[in-house]
Amino acid sequence: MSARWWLLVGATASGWVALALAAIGGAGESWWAVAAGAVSLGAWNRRLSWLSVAVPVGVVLLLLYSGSVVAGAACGLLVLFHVVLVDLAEDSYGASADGAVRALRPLVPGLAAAVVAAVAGGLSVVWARGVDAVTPVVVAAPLVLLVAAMVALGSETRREFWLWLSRR
Amino acid sequence: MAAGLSPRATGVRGGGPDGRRTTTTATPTWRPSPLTRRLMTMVVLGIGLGVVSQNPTLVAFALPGLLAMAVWLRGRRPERVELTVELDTPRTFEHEARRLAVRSTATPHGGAVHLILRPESPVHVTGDRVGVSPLPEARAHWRLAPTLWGYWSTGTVIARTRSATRAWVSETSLEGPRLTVYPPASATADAPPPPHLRRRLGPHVSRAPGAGVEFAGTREYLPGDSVRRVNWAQSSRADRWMVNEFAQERMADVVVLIDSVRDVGPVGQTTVDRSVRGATNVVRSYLSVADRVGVVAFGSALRWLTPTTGNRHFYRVVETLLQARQARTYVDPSLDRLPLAVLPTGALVVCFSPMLDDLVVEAIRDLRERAHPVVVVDVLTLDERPAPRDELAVRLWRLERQALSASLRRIGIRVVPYADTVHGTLGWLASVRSAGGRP
Repeated sequence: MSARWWLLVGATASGWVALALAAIGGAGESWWAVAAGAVSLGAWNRRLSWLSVAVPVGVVLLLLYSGSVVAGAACGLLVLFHVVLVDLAEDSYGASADGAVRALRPLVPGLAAAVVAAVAGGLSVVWARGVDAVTPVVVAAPLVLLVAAMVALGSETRREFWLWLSRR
Repeated sequence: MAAGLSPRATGVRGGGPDGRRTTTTATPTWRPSPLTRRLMTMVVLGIGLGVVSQNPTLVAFALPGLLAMAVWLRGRRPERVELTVELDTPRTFEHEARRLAVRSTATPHGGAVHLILRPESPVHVTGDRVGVSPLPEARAHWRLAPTLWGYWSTGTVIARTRSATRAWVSETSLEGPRLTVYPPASATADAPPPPHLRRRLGPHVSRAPGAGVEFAGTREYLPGDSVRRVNWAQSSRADRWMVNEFAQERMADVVVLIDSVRDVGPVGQTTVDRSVRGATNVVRSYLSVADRVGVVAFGSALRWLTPTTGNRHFYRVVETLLQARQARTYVDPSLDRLPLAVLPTGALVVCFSPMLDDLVVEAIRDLRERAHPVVVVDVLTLDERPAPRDELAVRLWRLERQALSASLRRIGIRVVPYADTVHGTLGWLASVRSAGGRP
């Protein structure tokens, strides 16, 4: 499988998880999630990659009338991943996995800041409202998994990656 | 978007000494990338609707994107982009592939450069039109196979440079080097000899006896004949001295005239396309046997080359033919303006013409009146069966063409249909000459 294939699989997965999360946590009609997810598959076509905008629009519509703050932050993070991976996939025709990882490296600080902000913001609001302890754990689990995936992605490459990260 | 060099970004632009390479150095003008625009949509949508509907969930949704964008927009951006486009050779024949190498460097390093090629329409590109090197120094190679003769650009190369964090993008475009595409030329080893030959040593066997190597007959010995030419067998039978006679070997003058006053037909098979291809074959064939060949491009501008020999002359002739479509003028072409040396006495004139313009037909008649053997190759064909309602008109048109051909034949001009090979077009010349007739 090419690097582009893996990037698009990651983009699709993160987009669909975001839509599912918004459909569960929000008060909108669930079929919006299905429709937006189906339309976002256009990103697999090189000329139709702009259709990936269906994911953020679908999530916003699902979260428009209700939904928890934590679910909103988690959806925002997943949509961010979706947008980044689609953008990387656009330029990765014929590129090796190593080339895709190299292109991903400069984005790590921004992604890390987004993850930290989403987790910290979401959890603080939840705890401030006095919600039971199970909900934040359930919501935070995918975010932790995403951070772990990023770490695994970095460790697969060379040791210079960590040196480079430390220099920044 | 095919953005060119912006006024602020214009740097050094130059080319190689032989026109194979073009290069430019530009200071990029940055604009938000598609990634930034998507994130901005997400953030504006989330925060805007969140504030309007007083829904903190949407603000929380927009928060990760906002933070990521804030970090990425401060990412390092290259200050200078250098783009070099190089062609392995600036000349080629139709359908012969040439290699286009593109190199782009962004300094200081930290961004990614993406190379895109937008070729001109008659140039077929082998391989992806987008470079695949998302590196600070991007390299891409394409194979270009032009499908039509002429002067073509190799296309526009665009270097799309992204900042390290992909939040900014800039485009630098550069016109590739010019590619000269020659029509395919197939030389015929035994080009049919023209009816009239010059009194100079050449490759064609003439009917006059002289110092050659081709046996022509025998005659009685005359004082001064070399003893080595005595035919001993016949002398013993005839009981008198007989000597061998040989045919003279002489050269020919051939002038190719192409008519580009009217250009009709489908792209790639127009009358001018056929004329240039046919003329190239004729020129190549006669030059390969060391005859003198000249050319007259009879179009909206009159161009000519005096007959001469040699392989280098072939390229000069083809360059003249390639300009048949380019030159435009409002002055009617006339053979009277040609220097005398362009049309040597007795030179065979091969005209490639659709015979659609009276001016050209008159010029052909004029050539015959100057005692040149003239052959007209009709490059206009109508292979398709006309629609039933057009049948009568097409029939009348064909009758008019036949009448025109007959009027030309009456004054000694031979009209032959176009063929892809020299033998197909001029092969009949050999039989005419051996019979001693005129073309």
